[in-house]
Amino acid sequence: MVQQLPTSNKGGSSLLVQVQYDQVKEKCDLLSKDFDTGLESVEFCNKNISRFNLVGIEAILIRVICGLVLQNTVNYNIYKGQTNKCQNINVLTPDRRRLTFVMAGLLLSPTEKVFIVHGVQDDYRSDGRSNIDYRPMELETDVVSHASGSARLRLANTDVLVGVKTEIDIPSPDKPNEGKIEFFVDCSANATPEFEGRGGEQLALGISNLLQRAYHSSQALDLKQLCIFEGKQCWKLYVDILILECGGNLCDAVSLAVKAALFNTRIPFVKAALMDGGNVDLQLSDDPYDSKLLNVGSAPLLVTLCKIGDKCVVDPSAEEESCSVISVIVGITGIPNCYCDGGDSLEEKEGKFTTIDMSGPGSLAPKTLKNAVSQGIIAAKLLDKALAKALLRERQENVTLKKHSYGFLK
Amino acid sequence: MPQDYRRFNGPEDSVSYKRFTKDYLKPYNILNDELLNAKELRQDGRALTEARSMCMFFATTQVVSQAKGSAYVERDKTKIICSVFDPREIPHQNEFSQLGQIYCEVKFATFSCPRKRRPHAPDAEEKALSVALRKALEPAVCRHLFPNYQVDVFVYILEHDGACLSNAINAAGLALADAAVPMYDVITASTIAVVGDKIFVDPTESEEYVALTSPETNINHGVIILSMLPELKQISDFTHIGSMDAECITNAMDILEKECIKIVPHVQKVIVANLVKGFEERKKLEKEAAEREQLLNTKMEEWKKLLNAG
Amino acid sequence: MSEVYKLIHPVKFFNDYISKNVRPDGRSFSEQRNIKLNVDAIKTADASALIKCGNTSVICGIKLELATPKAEEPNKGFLITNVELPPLCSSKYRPGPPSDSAQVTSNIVSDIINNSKCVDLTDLCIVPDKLAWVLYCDMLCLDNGGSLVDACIITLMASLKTLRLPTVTYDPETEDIKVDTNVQTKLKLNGLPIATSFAIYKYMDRNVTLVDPSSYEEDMCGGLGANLILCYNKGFLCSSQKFGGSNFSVDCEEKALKIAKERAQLAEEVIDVCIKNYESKTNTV
Repeated sequence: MVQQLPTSNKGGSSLLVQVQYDQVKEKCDLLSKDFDTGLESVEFCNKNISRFNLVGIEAILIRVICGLVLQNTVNYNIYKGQTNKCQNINVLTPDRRRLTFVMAGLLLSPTEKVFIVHGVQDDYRSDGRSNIDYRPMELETDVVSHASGSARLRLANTDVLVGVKTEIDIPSPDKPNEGKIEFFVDCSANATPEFEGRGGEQLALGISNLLQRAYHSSQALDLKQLCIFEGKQCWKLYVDILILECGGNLCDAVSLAVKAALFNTRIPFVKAALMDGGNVDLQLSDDPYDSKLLNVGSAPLLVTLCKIGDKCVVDPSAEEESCSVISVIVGITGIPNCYCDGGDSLEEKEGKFTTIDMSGPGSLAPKTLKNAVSQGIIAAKLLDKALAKALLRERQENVTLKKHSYGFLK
Repeated sequence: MPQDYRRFNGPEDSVSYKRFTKDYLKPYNILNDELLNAKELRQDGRALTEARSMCMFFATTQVVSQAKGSAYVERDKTKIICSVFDPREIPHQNEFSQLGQIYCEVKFATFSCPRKRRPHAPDAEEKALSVALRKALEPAVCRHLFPNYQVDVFVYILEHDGACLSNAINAAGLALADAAVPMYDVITASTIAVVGDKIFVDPTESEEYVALTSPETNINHGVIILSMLPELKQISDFTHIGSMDAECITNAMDILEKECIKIVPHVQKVIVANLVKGFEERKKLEKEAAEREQLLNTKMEEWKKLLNAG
Repeated sequence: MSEVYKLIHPVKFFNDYISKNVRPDGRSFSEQRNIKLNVDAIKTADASALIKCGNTSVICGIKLELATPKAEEPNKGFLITNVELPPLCSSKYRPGPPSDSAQVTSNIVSDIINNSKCVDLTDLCIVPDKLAWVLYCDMLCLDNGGSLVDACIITLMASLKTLRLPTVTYDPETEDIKVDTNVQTKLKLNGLPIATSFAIYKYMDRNVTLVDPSSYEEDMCGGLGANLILCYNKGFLCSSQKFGGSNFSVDCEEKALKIAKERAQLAEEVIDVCIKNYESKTNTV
């Protein structure tokens, strides 16, 4: 049973509300008057669900699965034809149990899906991008003054803040001349409703594992440059990744921000070293400018390739994500030459794969995987060049001008 | 590190005696050279592309009698045991899940690794293996058939001699089949290790170790694990660590695909054997039950006669 | 049919068997299950053994490490025994830290080994106050089919018996340690403690002692695991522990002690034969 509610033309776009319910009809009484007043709140007069508010939603689709409360499924399909924004709705039930409904899983009609799949097939996506184009992003480095290096990246609705901390450590016995690097991901509970409670832990663990694997090889990041005194002391980099907002395509954003933060990292020079028996006593330079920068040109970038139809796209929008069941994540080493001044003219080395992983519940055919991998390497190359250009420009600006910052942290 | 009061702990500063032996800390070149002998054969006499023969032993009641389904996979020295339990409601969640879930836990026995003693508490590698196993199994299981329930898959690695994850996937696939969990296809997996231009199929622990150590020169190195649903020709998980170029990856994919298909007859044999055994056991039980019933009936007749006579 | 009966009338089902002087798996009250032992099953461990006793299977692996001895006991090494009951072995256990029953079993096994004094800890010391062996003995239960402690002790003793310690040279001046794995010495053992579990069931007005109970029988008799564990070393009783279950009479006790003593001898023979076979095999190869 489908009930069509009156459409309004507020703000120049049509608003269509579609409510599907049958068994819940007696229990659920939808007061539709609020939709006309700019979609501020939806109220249910119901034994189990008392009220929930949608604030500032432009276009949305809510799939409420009341498995525990109603044992029924209610679909609210509010469509406005604009960009989608993830929102978090908390439903307060009388027994004070907070249920969180996630709207990231967008529901599309079969026709809309076909439209997206056909677009991907012809390498022309619904927002005008080609299959290997990213959406515009904002990058800012040196945002946290207490960290050795930091960066903040915003890609569409995804917002990531990365800080690098340095500490002196003892190298592991089987790798005496190498430093250490460790990744820690923290998913802020505000980033997406899924992260509430312990929801973000799995994802955080997955991302840090992926990064650890991507940086495992010395061809990705040469850990020898972190060695201070062979077998005795080395630098350990703690890369703390804070996910402020999650709007999809998290791995790519994180890897970009990590590389930018590492590029920005300064390691103090050692002024003097004293040998005291078997121990080494180090004296570090106090001057923040008396420090060295890391060579991170070859640090890997992660590219998520979302499988739609037989083809793959990078940086999928929320609609595109809902057309896909599996994505391939490839980690590809960067091009070191691009990160030196005037290095563009030099010969470029082909990137190498440092990790490949799959995410999502589906599976894919061997041929698709091969195509995805070769597509990933092209996308990564373009992305790395763009990142190098932005980082070099930022560094230049820092030297010549007084820094003009954009972010909220300054 | 907080002290674990639930177990007996040794002294904190204890180190494996192997650290003080002569063989410890061999330079990379020597380790690399040791992998192949003059005849281009590996330490255990295999050719580069030769997998260790699969001697699988698989049984329901013999391996873990308390579990719904269980499997034991042994590939030369690598020994893995896996058990699967009845579905139970997903604990600690307040949202209805339309798809059933698979909970995987991979654990190394403390004595399973040749280089060091494993801690009791799960470490990062075990957690990563658990996630990889779950991802590999998910596409193979008909999860929509048990909504809001989870199936527990526990894997214990008793001895680690390379290709752990792929054999854990093989074992888990068999155990799931044994536990009669509905699946789209059997699931098989295989591993290769790459060092330079050499590709080791089904590597041993020492081969994996060399492949994961970063070399001085800019050569390809790494380990790839691929799991497949062979009948449907679908890749369910692909995991790669190390650094290699695109050509090497595509080459490796072809080899892995072939290896995965090679295992299928072994897996099928085990499943069929298990099925036949189960069928025969059931037939035997039914026969016994019929005999008992007949015995009971004759006794009843006798009593009836006695009663009637009395 | 019998499965249904077992589920609906668990106590009556069990009583029916007991009244006929037979156990549900067909054994008589004082009959134990066969022991199958496989020595040196795990090559990555320094010593190992796998035991199968009915459905119960336990694997033990020993890892050798070096450490400085404790300040209060400078001439003693370490013997660390732990029993692991992973969720894999039974649906009773959940993933996470060790359950109560795993801790209890660990404690029982550790007590038995320490009380029996079968390993002299001073033998494990290399240089007093400087260097000593640490023997990490981890017993991993693969299938919990009852009488867990018995199986753990047998596999632990079999592993300890095959353990060989490499020679260590310690330079007191440079504190340099060198280990030579080519020259190995056997660990000295003082006897061979063997534990025997009993379940005590109260049927009508008599007490029934079941030797080597299965996990089903243990459940029926109440309590976690077996009710009575007796341990003999070289013909002497070295440990006796009673947990829950029914009370039992003096003549029952005498009978139990006799059975435990006989079983200790039997198990010792099994271990000896297995190790002899294993050693002759390794020598010929």
